[in-house]
Amino acid sequence: MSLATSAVILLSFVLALGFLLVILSCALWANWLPLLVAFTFVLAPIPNSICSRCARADDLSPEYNSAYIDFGRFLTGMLVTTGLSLPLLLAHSELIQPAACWMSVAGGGLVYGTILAYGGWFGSGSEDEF
Amino acid sequence: MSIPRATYDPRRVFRFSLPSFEVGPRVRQVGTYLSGGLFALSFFLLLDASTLSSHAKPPPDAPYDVVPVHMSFVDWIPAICSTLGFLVVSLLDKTHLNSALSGDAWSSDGPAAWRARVVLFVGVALMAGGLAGSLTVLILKYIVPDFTGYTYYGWANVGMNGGIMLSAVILWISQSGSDEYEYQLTV
Repeated sequence: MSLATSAVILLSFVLALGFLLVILSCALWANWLPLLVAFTFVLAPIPNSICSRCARADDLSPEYNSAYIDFGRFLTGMLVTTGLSLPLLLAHSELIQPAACWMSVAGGGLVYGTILAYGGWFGSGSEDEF
Repeated sequence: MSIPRATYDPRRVFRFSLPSFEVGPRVRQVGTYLSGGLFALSFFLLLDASTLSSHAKPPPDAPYDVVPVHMSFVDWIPAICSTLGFLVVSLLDKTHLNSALSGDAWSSDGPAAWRARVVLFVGVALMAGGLAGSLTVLILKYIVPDFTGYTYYGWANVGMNGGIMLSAVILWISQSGSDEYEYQLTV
């Protein structure tokens, strides 16, 4: 078995573990608010890929505009921070249990880390920058 | 033909020139991420106080009291001002401003530089007004009527506006490098 195949299998296991943690943090207390964290972390790589396409729409033209890429990075920073601070907010105002907060943060971090690792290993061919 | 840039330019107004931050693409990338994170974090600080206020319960030793103070629209006005100011300052094309500030003889009095300066002034004034407004809300709404235990709402407001201002500063510094290097990298 090649290295790439085992890496894919490992990453899919980690992704499943992350989703398991997030869904468990919702289902154990029958409170589905932490599911927002999973959505946020899944959405987090999208602005960078869209904005790098936008900036590269006119290839080799002298007025290359890096503002799109910077805007994508800004949005990514916003989304990642949202995913980290939303459970803390919900736990602070006692809408969810503290254990659910930590479980959803850990699960979201695993999901985002999986996406990052996948993009770093296999995304170099498609020029996507996550 | 342009006037060569000297270390001492007699047309300068100030004795010290503005420090120009020359940052590489790495710093630019990290700074942009950091600025976005700080922006979202400051919004979540205000949202946290707002959620806390909307789910606030009376103290357990007097369960039939009403909660004395809630967050209202007044608490959000400084945030709106700061966000507008952040948008104005960040969307401003810095190249016009740099040519306006560098003392270049041909562009320092151009209409673009003049407009850029006015827009920058409006943006920074909106952000500073948001910070001052949040301090006003903190003092007039929470400290003077002596709502002990509820001043967190006011402090969160101040922290939110300060965070937005800090985020704008980080974004400005990280964007002040030139794009040339990145241009060569991507092409």
